[in-house]
Amino acid sequence: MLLEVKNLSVQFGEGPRAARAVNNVSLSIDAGETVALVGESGCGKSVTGLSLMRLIETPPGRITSGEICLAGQDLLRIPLKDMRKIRGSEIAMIFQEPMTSFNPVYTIGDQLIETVLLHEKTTLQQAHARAEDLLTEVGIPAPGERMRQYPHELSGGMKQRAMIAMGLLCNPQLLLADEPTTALDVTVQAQILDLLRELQARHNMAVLLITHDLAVVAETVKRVYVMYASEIVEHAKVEELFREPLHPYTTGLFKCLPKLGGRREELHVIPGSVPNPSDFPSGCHFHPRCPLAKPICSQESPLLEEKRPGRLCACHLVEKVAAKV
Amino acid sequence: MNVRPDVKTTPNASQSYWGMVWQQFSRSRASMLGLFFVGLMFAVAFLAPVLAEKKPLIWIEDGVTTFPLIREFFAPSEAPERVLETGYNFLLLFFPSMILIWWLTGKYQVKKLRKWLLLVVAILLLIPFFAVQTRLNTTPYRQLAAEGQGEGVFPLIPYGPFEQGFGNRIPPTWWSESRAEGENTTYHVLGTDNAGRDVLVRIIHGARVSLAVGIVSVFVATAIGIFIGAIAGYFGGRIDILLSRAIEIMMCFPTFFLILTIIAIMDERSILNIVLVIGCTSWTGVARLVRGEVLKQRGLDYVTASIALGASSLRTIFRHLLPNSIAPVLVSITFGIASSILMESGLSFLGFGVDIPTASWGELLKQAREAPTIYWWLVMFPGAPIFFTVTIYNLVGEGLRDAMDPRLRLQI
Repeated sequence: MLLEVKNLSVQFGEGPRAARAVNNVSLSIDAGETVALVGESGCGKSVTGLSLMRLIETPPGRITSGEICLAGQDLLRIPLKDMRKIRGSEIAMIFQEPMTSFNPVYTIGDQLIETVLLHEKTTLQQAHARAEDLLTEVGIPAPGERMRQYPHELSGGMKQRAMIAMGLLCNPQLLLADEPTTALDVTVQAQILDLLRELQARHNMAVLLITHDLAVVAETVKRVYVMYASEIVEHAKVEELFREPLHPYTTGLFKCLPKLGGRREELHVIPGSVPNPSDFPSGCHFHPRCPLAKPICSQESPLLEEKRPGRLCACHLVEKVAAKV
Repeated sequence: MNVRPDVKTTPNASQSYWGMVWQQFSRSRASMLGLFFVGLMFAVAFLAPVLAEKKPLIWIEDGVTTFPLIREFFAPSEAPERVLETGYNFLLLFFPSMILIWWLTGKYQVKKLRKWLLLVVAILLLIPFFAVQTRLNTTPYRQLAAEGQGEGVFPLIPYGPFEQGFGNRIPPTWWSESRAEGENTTYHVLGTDNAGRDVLVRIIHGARVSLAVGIVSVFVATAIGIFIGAIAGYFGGRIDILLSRAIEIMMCFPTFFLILTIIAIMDERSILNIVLVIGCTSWTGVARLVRGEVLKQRGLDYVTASIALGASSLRTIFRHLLPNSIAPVLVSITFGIASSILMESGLSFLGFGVDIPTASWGELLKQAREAPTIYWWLVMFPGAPIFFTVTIYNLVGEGLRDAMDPRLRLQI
């Protein structure tokens, strides 16, 4: 197991009004594996990603409990100095907005080379060569010239490629991709996803893809964690999830997808909206919006249990089915 | 691939931020006029020893040619502020050679040599400042020239800034008939002060003091302000609250009286001390400005990205945040220079300024205090450059502020 997160909780602010953005989240990623964390806006998936790198701003944010073990080392208990060494070299992160992820006052090359020199004692020439190689690898034509250009001279897709190259410069074992394709056109999205898959295989690196887009998930990953209102509600292999979603929320999400070739009908909408993280409903966080809610749902929080072999789900209404012998 | 590597971006898109600011700035006639006069003031300050000095540039006596001003240039003998004088003189030589190297390396396509050439030239130029010994030279060249014992090429105004004995408080020669009374053979365009020194020469050399005080004290203030503002904006939380309150407390002090108090208890009133005192009391505006900018910038992804790639806090602040937050500081720098110059003049006027006999505009004004209506040339002539300098820096600052304000930007 490369990364193992156990019972991670993050809150913003203190006292009864504190926003509990992440609650008891546990997830794991094997070396070289691609895993997705799916959920609506505001469900806490980005905060989870940021806290893996200890990038939550403190104050107001705070990781209240849990463990984040990278190759057996708990990242929450090492000094900040060691954490800085891990950032960028062991875990790298790419962001949603390629437009603002580069510093506008330096050239692309400056920023790539700076990252290499930050982690490794190499000469400027070697760092330059490495940066140029990686830009070639992520499919940027004329990398030498691009390196002399400023971020505003590159297109969005080009910048996201360069951002990926920047993430890969020091051969990280884990890449956190926080909605890497949200800000791009559909055609470029596909290219970036292909690129990620290709690089993941070539560098044997694990990828945690944080997204709200089920279509992206279907194409790219092996396992999926579904997150709703600060908690993980379902976890399954991607084929199983698409074949039979267990949690009513996941079912709702699938219903929201337009079907190709199907009858034209109004798209399904999950009624209501994601609850405010400082004021979650009692019991199951989803019960006010759940079409199947029973009285027990508002009273007791469901546990994330193995309802099918190899599948976890947090719902009172899903029956446990043992493995068929 | 939807990129065309052969096509560069359109000219408008490739226009840099500073290019845009310059374009906007150059539209305002008042600002350009201000900039021109700022340049003129720099020129006067740098060229002061060539414009006004009692020693000749070239002196021929008994067939022997000497260069008395050159020695004075590299090793000032009379000036109490040696560092200031040699600093200006060094820059007077260094700036033109820098431009020359820039132009030559550009012309011959050897831009890589630029840095090294500059370093070599700087060291070469420094050598005479250390090599030439200070020697008090009291030869009365002007007198000798008048008596026909030697010949020389004198600066434009052949009086030194510390040269006394022209007669105290002589009004401008063209205004009164004092020259006709036969006691003086010298011509003083703006009269003399109460120690018998030429006022115009004092004003020219006073430009050096004013400019140095303006720039260096703003440099000190900006450095402190940027540091405190960046720390407060970046770390936020308690540190921000603490520093912001400190800034506000500092702002509550009436700066001028604070400076007066500090200077009153100081032993030595050298330019350096005055500059430090002005700098250390006027950083609050910059600190608030930088704090706001850093707060705005730090929410952007590139800051998170830089931390996520393993950069330390200091690196993130100084390499990534500050270059993006510095533009508005430039405006406050120009206004700051104006107010520092005014502050120094005010201090000198009250007698708390630089030690005499260093030339200073405010100090000249002070001499007219006893009877301003009689010694009118000691009011008008030193007062004009103070007024003028403050005005031009404010014009430049205002132009810069408008040029940087995107709301005021005209359609290009």
